[in-house]
Amino acid sequence: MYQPQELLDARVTFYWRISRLIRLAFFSFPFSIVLFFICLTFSKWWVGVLIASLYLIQKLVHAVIWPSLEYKHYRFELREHDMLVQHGVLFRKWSSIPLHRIQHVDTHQGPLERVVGLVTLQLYTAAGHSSDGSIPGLLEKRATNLREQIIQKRGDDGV
Amino acid sequence: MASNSEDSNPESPPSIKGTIHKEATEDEAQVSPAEEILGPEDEPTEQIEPETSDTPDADLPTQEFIWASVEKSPESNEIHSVEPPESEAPASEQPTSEPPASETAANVPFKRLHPASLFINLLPQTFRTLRGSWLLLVFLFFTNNSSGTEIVDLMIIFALFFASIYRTFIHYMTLRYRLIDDVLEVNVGLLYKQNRRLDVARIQNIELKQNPLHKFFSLTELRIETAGSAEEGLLSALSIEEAEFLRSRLRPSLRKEETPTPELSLVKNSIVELLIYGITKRTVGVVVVLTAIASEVISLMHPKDAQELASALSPKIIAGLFLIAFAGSWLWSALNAILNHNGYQLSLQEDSLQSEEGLVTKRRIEIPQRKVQLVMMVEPLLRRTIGYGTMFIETAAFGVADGRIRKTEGLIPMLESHRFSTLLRAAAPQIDIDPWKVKLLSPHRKALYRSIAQGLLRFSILVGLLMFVLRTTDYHLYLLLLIPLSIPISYLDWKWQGWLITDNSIIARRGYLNRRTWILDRDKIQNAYIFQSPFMRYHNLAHIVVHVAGTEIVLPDISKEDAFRGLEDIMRQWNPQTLEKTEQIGGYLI
Repeated sequence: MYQPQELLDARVTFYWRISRLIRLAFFSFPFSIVLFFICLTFSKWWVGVLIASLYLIQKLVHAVIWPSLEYKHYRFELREHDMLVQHGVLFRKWSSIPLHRIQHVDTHQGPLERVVGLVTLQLYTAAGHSSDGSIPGLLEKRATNLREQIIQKRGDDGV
Repeated sequence: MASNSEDSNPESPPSIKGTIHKEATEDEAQVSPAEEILGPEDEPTEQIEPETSDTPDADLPTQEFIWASVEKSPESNEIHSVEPPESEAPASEQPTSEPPASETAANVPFKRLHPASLFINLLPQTFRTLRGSWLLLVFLFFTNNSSGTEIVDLMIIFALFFASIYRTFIHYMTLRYRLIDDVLEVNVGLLYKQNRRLDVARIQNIELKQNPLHKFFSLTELRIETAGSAEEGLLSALSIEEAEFLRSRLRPSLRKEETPTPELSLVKNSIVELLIYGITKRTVGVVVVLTAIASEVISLMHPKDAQELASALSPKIIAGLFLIAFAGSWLWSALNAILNHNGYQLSLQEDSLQSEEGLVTKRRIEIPQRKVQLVMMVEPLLRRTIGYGTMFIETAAFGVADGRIRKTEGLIPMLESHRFSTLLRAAAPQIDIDPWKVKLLSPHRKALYRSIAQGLLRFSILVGLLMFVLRTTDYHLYLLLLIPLSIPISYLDWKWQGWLITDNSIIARRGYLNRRTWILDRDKIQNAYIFQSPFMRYHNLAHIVVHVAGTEIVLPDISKEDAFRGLEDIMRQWNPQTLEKTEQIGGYLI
């Protein structure tokens, strides 16, 4: 099995952690309280506590432990004819996007990503929207470099 | 075992490098023979040159290709409608010479829709407006109890109605189209101007539609689909001659030759066949789900009635009710089949497939063979036992039209099993394999466990639903006995799975109750990946998923090593050398 060479920037774990913790605080936590009260109307209080805490624990694991695992399994490589992306902790995906099929490439940056100094590279093919073509946690320089390389290599594929 | 090697890899970088290097050299070794055959002068960059050259600056090409993936935003329309090349070209051509045969942009007049489009478009436009504001309508519907709001309600409804009239009017007044050489130009809009340019080479299929209103004015609707939104090239009311003219001009092959070759009739469906098609379409699941919903609605609205009903239920009555439900759904789908596909016939003219169908609204669809990316055979158990199947011929034209995803344009409702291969060859001659003759590779033995587990889960949900519906009766527990039934079905399902990757096609087959066989053209693959769930990793299984424009085809579960070998094989297609070969034959990709 051929493993793609390049790893994301190590700071991406920090970015994932922070962004997920923020989401946990502002969305998941209030939602777990709502969940508790919904359960309360159906059955006993401890069922509500159980369900709400399970939900919170899952989110907490996703925010605290998962990023480093995800980082470990996220690999990519730009080869002569394709872009290889391998990712996923439990559900593994190993995908190859041919460069001559790429319709356009863009890099984007959320506000938090800007603070950390990371960029997400997104590739689009005619296959429609798929998560395979997105590579998060790249240094700005590397991302623009990759984009330039892809644009240069990309064939002109008439759809 | 597999996870072990992965964990150890990051800690020992030199070993990775070693393997990579070896693979790379192997790759080169694979490439070189192809290079020799094709000759060094056919370089991939040369192939690319002509198309990029007609866009003025380096940034534009990337934007021009956006439309397939991001057709939703209005800006994207404006982006790809930036049109310096065409406006420049005629200006430089005009002063030099004016050949009478070829048209320049200046002397081709714009044409308009038929005035009757005002009548024809009003209804669909009203529907579209109402659908766009359904939230508002729901709000109106539920708040009209309070007094004093009737005038406001009326005003809103009037405003909506007026908006649709206004839109229809503007659409008719502003729509202009013309055909210059290989490009159909469609301009529409007053405030939001849309300027669309449809390249003949990019047309996926052409559809002529005639509803009763069209028929009354002897007009048709012409819909030109490209890989992207279906609304791209819609001319809603044209005279029949004009539509025929456009249609013939938009077919690259027909324009070159003066005398069109006679049509070759391929399939005709009789009413009886279509009735059978409709009847064999419905599955058990639909009826169960519908009855579940109905019973829940009844018990919500009238809890007492529902209890009385439930206590009065006997096995006989339940069986009777189910029979009625089945009969109803059968009748409905049979009627639907007749309505949509009455008088279905498919023929081959030159290099495009033409189908005609419809009882009230007549549709005539034309699909160029070279745009066919995928052929799917659907053989539900009932249809299969009487020797029939349904064939879907798919191009890259997909998108949302009238709020519905429309993807499969070419559908042959009823096709005799022994003619599958003939039709496949007619639909996609570039695929020179007969999936009903060759022996497909079987899935991994351990994939059977996964199949059974999935089947049990699916069946349990269905049975659970049924039990929930009949929970007030005494014998709902007996339904649990149905669950083990899924095991033989899962086994048969697994047994019938198959896959094969050949030089120019990929074949996948799965399902017993509803057997489907996909045959896809390798040149049309957009990307491919290998997927592994934790369960599959435990058994060292994986499956390949292949993406063509708009559709994902999942091959059966095979061992991880086989999957990677298969993907390696598919990735040979990424090499421009392989690509060039096919381009010389077909002329167009996708």
